[in-house]
Amino acid sequence: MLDVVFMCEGTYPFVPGGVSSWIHSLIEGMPELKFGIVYLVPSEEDELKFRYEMPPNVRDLVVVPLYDIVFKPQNKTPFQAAAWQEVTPFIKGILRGESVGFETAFPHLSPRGDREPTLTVKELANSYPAWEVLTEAYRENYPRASFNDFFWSWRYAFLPLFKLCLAEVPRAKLYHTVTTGWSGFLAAVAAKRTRTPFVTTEHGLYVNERRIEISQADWIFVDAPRRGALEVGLGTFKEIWINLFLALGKLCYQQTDHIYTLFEGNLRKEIEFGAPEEKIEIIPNGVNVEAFQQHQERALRPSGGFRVGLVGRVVPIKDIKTFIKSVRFMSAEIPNLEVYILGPTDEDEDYFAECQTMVEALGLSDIVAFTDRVDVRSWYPILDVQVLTSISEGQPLVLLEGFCCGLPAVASDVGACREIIYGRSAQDKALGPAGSITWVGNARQTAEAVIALYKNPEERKRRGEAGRQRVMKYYRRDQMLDSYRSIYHSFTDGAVREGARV
Amino acid sequence: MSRTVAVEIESPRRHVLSPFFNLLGLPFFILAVLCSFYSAYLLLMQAEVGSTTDPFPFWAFFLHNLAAFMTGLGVFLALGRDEESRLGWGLFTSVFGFLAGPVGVLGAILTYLMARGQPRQMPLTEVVKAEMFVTVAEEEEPDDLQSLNLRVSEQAQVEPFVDMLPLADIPTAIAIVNRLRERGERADIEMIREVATDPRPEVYQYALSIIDKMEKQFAGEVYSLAQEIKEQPGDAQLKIEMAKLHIEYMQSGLLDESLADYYWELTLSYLFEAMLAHPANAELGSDFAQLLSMQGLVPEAAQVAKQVLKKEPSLMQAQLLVLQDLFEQSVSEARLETLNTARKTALENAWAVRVPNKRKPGMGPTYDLARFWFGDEDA
Repeated sequence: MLDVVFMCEGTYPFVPGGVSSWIHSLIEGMPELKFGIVYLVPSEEDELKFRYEMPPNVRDLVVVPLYDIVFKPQNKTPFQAAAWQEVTPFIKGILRGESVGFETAFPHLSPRGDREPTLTVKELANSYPAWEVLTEAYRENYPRASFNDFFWSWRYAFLPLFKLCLAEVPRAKLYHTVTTGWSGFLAAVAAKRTRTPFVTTEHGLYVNERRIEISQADWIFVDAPRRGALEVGLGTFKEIWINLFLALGKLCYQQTDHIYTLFEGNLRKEIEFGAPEEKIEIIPNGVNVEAFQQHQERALRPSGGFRVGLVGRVVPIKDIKTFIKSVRFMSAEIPNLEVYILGPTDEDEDYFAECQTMVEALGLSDIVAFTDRVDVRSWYPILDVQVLTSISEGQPLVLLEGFCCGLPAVASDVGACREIIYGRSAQDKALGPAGSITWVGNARQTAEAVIALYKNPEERKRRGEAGRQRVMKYYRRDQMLDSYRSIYHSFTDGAVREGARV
Repeated sequence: MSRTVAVEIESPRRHVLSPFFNLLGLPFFILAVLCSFYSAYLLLMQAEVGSTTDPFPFWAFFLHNLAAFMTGLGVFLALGRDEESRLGWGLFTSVFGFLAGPVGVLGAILTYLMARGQPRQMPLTEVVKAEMFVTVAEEEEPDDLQSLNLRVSEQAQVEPFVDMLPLADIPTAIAIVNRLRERGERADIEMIREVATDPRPEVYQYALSIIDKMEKQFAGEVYSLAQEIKEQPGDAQLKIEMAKLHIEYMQSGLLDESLADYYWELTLSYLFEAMLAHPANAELGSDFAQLLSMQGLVPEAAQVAKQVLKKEPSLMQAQLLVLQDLFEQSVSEARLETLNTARKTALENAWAVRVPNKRKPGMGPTYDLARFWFGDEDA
């Protein structure tokens, strides 16, 4: 039996990023434990490419496609009135964004031991009682919406849910999900089915991120508003999807044994989304300080120019465009300005093209360079300032990595950036600011903060040093590993079992 | 905070035909059956004789029609006054009786008897299928005045919400942004920018994403035009278009404030390049004057316009700019007599007669000015 199984969705080991690096460092940092990974993917046809070298203590990797559903032919089963009565509140609750009736619905949806679930996926999706539940839910919640669109939204929302109830997951002593959503639901199902504890770590807030993504999505139909009226809300179908993820979040928070989060702001949001406060604990991210400090290689030789870097993927959430606009402003004040955008450019090719166009339109082609994937350890030491213009972040590792090399940062006021730069506790704040915080999407403020650091080299050095001290004291990887090691061992060694299900 | 009041819709319960048998229809059904069978008997008897010289069976034909009519009438009366579809049912069953004689009459009566208590609307599955084929007609754009009134009323509805933004919940704030985006005028975009400073991540992220989407349209146009200019560097018209596009971008409210100077320089450089290439083109000078005016440099615009008018006195855009300058001077100096003299002079000029009767893109302040000079009708 494995010790810990991670439930991942859009992260490790196939998508690089902060969460993936975090999982990788946890696995690598605990060679004494055997790990497994369950990776959720929209379809089996999606191409998966390993972005990390698998450590030897990863013993199992299961890929679960969410939307490939094949209804196996089966004999007609008798009408299960009691089962439907118990499943209906769970289904209807999800449509309202609530998590109700999971306990009673569970035996009908998921196998347990040798016992098969009372209802098959086909019955849950393609039967007369399912149709009745669907039409009732439609009348109760969205009687004015198009039934056709409601039907398909319902189907796409619930089929993966029913399918996940049957997914084969490796047995483990502990399940660890790194988001709520689908993987949180799968962790809850696996834990309940095998009577195993499960814990949740949230870096960003899945519910929040999905809410933003869905509210901005163009592919979801939105009923046309009436002329001259202010329609409150996002439209029926966006609401259905948001409610689904809200309900899955609540379900995960209810069922999980512990919730670990990175910073105070996340904790407050989780409580707002329905997490019980007593389950939540803050464990900040950590970086391998020595790995950055001892790295000798340098990407570029000194040029006498002032080098500004943004480390991150070229995707809309990083708001690279605001950074580019700020460079236009900086370039008027900083001679010999060199700007590097250090991160993969292939995740959103359209956005990358837009950024390139903007660089050209603003006449910055000689100043701004997109480097694509690089070894950032050889870049931090040659930069003068690091900028982060993201519109959403958890606890950005790149700032902490830069601090290891004494690199001050100018970051937007999102996620944990404020507490990383200005400090969390009174003792932490006493170390001094490690950079500046600017408002999201404000190119001028970003530029002004960089210009201020350019004009005052002493202050720049002081802030870089404050960052170095802060990361050494509060954000070391070994501190983070120790915290998780003790959590894992408390479950896997049976030393602390108060959270485990009986 | 007020919200849109939900409109009550028809009850989702489906209507059924009355399940009761109405005795009022019974005598008609009996009569219909008797007539139909007797008519059939008469026709069959005639056929038995087998004579081809027999006259047309008027009596049997009359009874056959009467039977069909009685069937329909019976159904019509039996369904009662409250049933909206009774005329349709009556005609439907009559046709049955007419086409198939006694069998048809019996079939029609049987159809009515079996249809009682059944839904008279399509089942939901059929509704789903039907809905797939429904196409929604494009909403007709009202003409200018109506459109203006609508916009004013919409503004009256949206603006108070913006003031209430700090108190609005997240869905309401998002709805405000959507409404502002839909209208998309400069003032609306400025309001979206204000929304982007809301402290709630859900709200500011949404507002920023909307600004980005709107900006993308300009960026796309600028990009394709820049490509064309690269391919045809001598084409002055492309450069003018680019200059106008930049001005439109600056005027839209989408351009980041910190980049305004850069874009202004860029615009002028495109225009100067075009003017250098075509020094005799007076229209370019007029465009330049308008760009200056758009930037709020009205006296400078008037100076350029006066130079242009020396070359080409019929350029209306340049003339209006001169007028605009005169008007602003009069207002700033508070000299009403100057205003009246200027107005009189304008009306006496042949060129100041026709101004487009619809606002053109980029004609905002000039058009308003023309309205002032010439009154609504001429404007």
